[in-house]
Amino acid sequence: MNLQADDLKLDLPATNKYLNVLGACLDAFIARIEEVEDARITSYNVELAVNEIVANIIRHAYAECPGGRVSIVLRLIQEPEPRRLLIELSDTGIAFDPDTVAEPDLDEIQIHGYGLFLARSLMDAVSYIRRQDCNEWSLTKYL
Amino acid sequence: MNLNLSEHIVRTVVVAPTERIDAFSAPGLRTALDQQLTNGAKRFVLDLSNVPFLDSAGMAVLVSLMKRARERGGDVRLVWPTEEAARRIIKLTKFDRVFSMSDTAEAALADF
Repeated sequence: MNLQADDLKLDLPATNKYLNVLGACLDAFIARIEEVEDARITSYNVELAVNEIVANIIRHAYAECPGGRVSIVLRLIQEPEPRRLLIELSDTGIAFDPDTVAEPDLDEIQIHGYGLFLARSLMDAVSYIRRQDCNEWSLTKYL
Repeated sequence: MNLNLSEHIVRTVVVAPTERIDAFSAPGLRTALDQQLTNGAKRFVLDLSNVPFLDSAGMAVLVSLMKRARERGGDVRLVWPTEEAARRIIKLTKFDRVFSMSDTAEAALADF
């Protein structure tokens, strides 16, 4: 992703230790966006969705090769409308196969399997692509 | 009159985290709850009212606790998070249909 002037780029070690730092950055970034409807809820939802993707990367993509990093770019897109927040994440861990992740049966509570479901439910679009040796996630939230 | 009396005390523990529960902090919470289970507690009130953020790793701890408590004849009650967005997540995942939810720890205790 080619950076634009107002983009914010984070480069985090692939460890759960800094999920709170990521959350704080997302909160602060969204706080600078004017006239966000239900800003508190929007901010929480975006934080949770991104948190789930990063935790997934740490747990699965880097399961056998700890010490990796996760790159995150935040971009507010004003035009063309609708205004939206684009969050792109990339890592160099093992490839992810979306087909292996089953949707959780919400009527049958389970211990695991809510992460990707939450990300997809809370964002307006979530996509994944394997490009060369990188996993690339793209999350979009209309504001 | 000969009476055979026996007293049954079921330990109930109220746990009220005050920090975010995510993939980093969830293992610590689980360890603390495991210790309570080992010490004989069967009933748990997880007071989420002061938890500012709860992710799927934290939710996994709640489900795991519920399963293990029920295996021992106990159960888990939850107190709603104050954060509206977190309440919505509880509803989105239908946790509020599996766990008995209360507005306060006192109400949750009375629910056993």
